[in-house]
Amino acid sequence: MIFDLGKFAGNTALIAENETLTYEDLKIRSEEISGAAGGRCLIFLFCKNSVASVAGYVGFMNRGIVPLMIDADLDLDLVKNLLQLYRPKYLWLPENLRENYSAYEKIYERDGYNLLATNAETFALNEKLALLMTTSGSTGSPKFVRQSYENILANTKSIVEYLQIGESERSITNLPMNYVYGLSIINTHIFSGGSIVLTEKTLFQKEFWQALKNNSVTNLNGVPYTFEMLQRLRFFRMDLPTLKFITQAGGKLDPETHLKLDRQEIFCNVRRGGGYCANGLSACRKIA
Amino acid sequence: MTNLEKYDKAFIDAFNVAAEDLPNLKYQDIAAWDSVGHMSLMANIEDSFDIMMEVEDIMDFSSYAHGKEILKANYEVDIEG
Repeated sequence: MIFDLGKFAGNTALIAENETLTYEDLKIRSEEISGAAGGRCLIFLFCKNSVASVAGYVGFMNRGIVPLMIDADLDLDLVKNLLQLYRPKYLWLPENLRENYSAYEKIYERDGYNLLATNAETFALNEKLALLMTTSGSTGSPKFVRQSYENILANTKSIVEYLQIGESERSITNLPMNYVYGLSIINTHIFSGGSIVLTEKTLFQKEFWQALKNNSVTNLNGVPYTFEMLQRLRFFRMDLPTLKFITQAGGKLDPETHLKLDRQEIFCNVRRGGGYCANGLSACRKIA
Repeated sequence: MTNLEKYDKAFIDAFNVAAEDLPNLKYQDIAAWDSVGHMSLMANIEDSFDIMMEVEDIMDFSSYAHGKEILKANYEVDIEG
């Protein structure tokens, strides 16, 4: 079991537009979804920043079901190619995509997602294999990276420790969960009893910033390009009192952004000099 | 180039779309108009009309049609005229 949900039962886990799930709720929901898929097998998880997608992921991981993480909007031809290559037992996907796979039987549905059985002749799975994901996000590259349970736990623990993520931490999804760093945010927060605001809105939509403010989000995470967008949106002038730290995956913050953060005296490096850990993660924390 | 031609070119250059698809185009309708694409589009529009867009307008710029209204109301750029 990767996520000990029972340990944080009363804490808030997921905050979506229309519902909030405690860890107890997430435990029940995730077990129900993964239970419909039964035991260890390969499943295509069509990712969105939604309750069904995240609860499905958590349930699959805890039950030893291996999700292959793809963008729900991935081009149909590319998905069909992947289906032939990987032969999953099930698809867990948004209801509106169901019609693309009419040959498959729907065996379960929940929160706008359907579980479809492919009846494909499946491959045996290595016992260490936890999940498969692309390194390049939304491209249809058929090459997926294999991650072991051990690897995911080690990575998650090291980031939790480095960023000191605890039960009071709250993030918001501005990266997709089929992207390595997007998933890492979910892993680290669910692992430590923190919470995540789920939104499909982007940095360029008012609703994103409203969700961030209304739910008292404490951390924001991005890739280098996120910071260009934040500059464009004059993030450095925004009044976001609950935000405690920001992180960037994919190397150090560029010197100019760093200078800006320093000059504003809002954020400073978690660690002196460099300030980034083995995962290529760079973080800045609020001084006051 | 007329303002309309400049405006269309800003979209076509950013998203590589056909001119006839522009009138109904909305944010996130097509893969190219995601947040990264939005950055390019805003830069193209600023360059084409020599303006600086306000943050509120960048966030409000949700469609091809609504963009025209924003430019007219807040930047004195009349696309249709």
